[in-house]
Amino acid sequence: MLGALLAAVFGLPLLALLVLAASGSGEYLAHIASTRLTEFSRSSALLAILSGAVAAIIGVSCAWIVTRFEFAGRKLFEWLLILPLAMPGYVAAYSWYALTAPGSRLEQLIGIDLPTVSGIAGAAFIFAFTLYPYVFLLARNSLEAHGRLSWDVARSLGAGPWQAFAKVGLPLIWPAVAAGTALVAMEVLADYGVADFLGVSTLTVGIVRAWSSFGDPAAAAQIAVILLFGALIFLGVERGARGRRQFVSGEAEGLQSARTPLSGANSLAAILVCVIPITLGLVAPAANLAWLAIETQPARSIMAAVQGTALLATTSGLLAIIIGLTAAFALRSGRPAATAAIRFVQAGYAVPGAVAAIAILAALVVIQAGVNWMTGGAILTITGGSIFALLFAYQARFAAVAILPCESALGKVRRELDEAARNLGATPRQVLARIHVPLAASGVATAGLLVGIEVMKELPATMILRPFDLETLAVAAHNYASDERLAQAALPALVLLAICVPATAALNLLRPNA
Amino acid sequence: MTAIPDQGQAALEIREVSCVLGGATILRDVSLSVQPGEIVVVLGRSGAGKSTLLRTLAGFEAIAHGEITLKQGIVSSPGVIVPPERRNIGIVVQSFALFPHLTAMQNVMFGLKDADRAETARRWLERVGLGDRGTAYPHELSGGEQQRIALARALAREPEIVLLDEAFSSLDQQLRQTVRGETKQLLRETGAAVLAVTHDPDEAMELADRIIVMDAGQILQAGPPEELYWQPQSVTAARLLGEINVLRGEVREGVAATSAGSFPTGDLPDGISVTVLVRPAAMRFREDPAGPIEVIGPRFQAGFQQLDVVGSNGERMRVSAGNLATVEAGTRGVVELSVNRYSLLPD
Repeated sequence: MLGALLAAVFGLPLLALLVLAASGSGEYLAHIASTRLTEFSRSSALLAILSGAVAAIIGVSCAWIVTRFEFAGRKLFEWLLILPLAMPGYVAAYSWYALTAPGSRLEQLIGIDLPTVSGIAGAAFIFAFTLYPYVFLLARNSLEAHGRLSWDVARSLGAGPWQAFAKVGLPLIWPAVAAGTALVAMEVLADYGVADFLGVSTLTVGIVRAWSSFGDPAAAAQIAVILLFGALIFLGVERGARGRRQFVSGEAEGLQSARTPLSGANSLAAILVCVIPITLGLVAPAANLAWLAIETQPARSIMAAVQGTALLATTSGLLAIIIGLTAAFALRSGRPAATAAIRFVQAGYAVPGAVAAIAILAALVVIQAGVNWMTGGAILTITGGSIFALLFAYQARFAAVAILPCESALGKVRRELDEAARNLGATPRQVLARIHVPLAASGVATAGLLVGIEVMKELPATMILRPFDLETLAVAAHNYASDERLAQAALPALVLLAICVPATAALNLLRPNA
Repeated sequence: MTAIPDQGQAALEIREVSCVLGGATILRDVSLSVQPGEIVVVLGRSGAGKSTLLRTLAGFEAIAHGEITLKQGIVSSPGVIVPPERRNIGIVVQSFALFPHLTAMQNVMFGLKDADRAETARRWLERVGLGDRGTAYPHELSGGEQQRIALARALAREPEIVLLDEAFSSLDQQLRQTVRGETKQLLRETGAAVLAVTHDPDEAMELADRIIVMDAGQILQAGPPEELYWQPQSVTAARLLGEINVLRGEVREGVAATSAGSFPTGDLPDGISVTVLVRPAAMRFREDPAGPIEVIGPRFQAGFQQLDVVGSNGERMRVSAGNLATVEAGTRGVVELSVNRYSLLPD
């Protein structure tokens, strides 16, 4: 019942999106179809594949090194390697562009002409080094689950280390790698900030332009439907890979033989492989931003943006806890209909923020049309630019992030604990207070924090749906950067990092896909 | 040991209870009662409906037909279900269901309400021999310790009825016997009515004053352990309690002649065919070169010897060896039967 209600509430906008897309005259779409649509689709696909491939190489190499070898600082690296996930792609893009633009201070300093980070190659570089942790996390967990028994056996059968990796190691973790890479691709498709700033015309950029420059919601909806199909393909890849992963895992638990110790040059090489992604994905762009922020007099106070971000993040975090718990209790009921409904809501994480935003606008347009038709005039004017629409879009997009930790937290509370407590005289309310809350509290808090962090970083939905007087750090940074005022963008971007990096560091092992 | 009181007011009475879960009928017309101080064990395979029976008693599941009565009155009938917390029933389940976020002491205190609850809990911890483990969390306790904490938690509220749901099955073989003995002693001391369910015949026979054999949601037979063991009323009931020989015969002049010998049939009419159920321990092999029985395989089982033998009509059976001397395959002999230790089932 609850599950069905959630599914209906979150499913409605997608339905409205289809209605709106079908209602459009198709003029703009026909126009861009003849000119830009192919380019949008091609850029999106190319960027997703390129970023995914590079991220997979980085993620798998690092995962292999930290699970199979022992070297100085291994434990620290294992933890640091996840942190670039806290770096919003667009922030990295501004910083890297400032570092490598022709005549930049860095180029003057080292006296070499660096290739400028821009275009598809530049965007893929940014995505690969900020999103590889998805692959790293899943590959690392898979490698740990498999132990190294099969690897040792392969070696004893005469395979060299590289052969063993290619013939046994990689095939075993392949499902995890595929799932991680699909997550990277989905993030790339959903991105607006990086592609827009680095001049790549992706589908998401097309949606935001159709909306903001041409004021044509139907056209935006039409492109959104195309993007949604793209995202669903990757969702299918990720789900399919996950299913197989469950099938093959748990082979050699407890059979972990020790990591191979490295020394001398080998140890240095391992450290270098770990240091490069952390540096390129987080340390270098963050340091550059800090430098820019320190030497720049801010044009105006960023307090309004801090307040806006705080408001959206905390409200969304609280909403996420409510939705996550509701969904988890519905799942716990074990009814197939409830489970199906919640799984549908969870698929929302494949819906790019821009699509979610347009879908909600579509729902509002459809409702408004309905109201107009019934009353014969505009009695009620629903606007898209309301904080409610924005909060709703966040929940539609990040519900999965909230549901998973709540689900696993409540999963710890086995049904027989409820029964034991009832049997010992506790009323249902006391069971909730004395058993459920204490056991599930940390998972529930995790859900709230994770959604809060995601909301702080989110850009396209915020751009489309925010009320005009609501400023956020992400939007402020984006607006400055779009005006080529990168030094001014540095401070809000840095504040964003100052919140997201520690929060991610604390939570990184609890991430839903970890 | 407390003597079992004769028919006073039952602590627990189940009348014609049926239970339907997810469209499947799990219990069919089950009736039984337990007296205060009595230990009744329900024996059955997994899926027989034993656990569901306990869950209806505890108030976790509703019933579709019949009624369950405790001292306080009817607690379950179609449309009526007194919630679990108002039944004063203690339960110990196979996984023990200890609360993972509470210490052993806090687990025992969970169901206690009065001011000296800490003192009561401490006393119970000592009573189960874990006075020094009160601050340990469940994951820090061994399996046996967890079982004892679960028992202490259930008994600390002084319930009139205690339910044990495969409460010893997750312990290893040797520990199981020790804990079983201790638990029985403790339960006797409290004087509670006990209903335990298990699939383990040894457990049933050791604990029970009365065994109830259940299969496919129905009660097949009920009675004292010895009676059930030697005189099972169906092949299914017989097999649940241990090895059994199933012999065929026909009644003629007051006896049923089988390949193992003749069994008195009482007042069964001549000419009908019967199935005879008899335990290997009630059949003793004696060597006799002219006997109708041939040994096909000696078997050694811890401490005593059994023989697989075949009768003149080809019926195979298992009997106990007469003495500890090794009997070779191919030896011929006869079977001596114990008086009254068999069942006759007319076809």
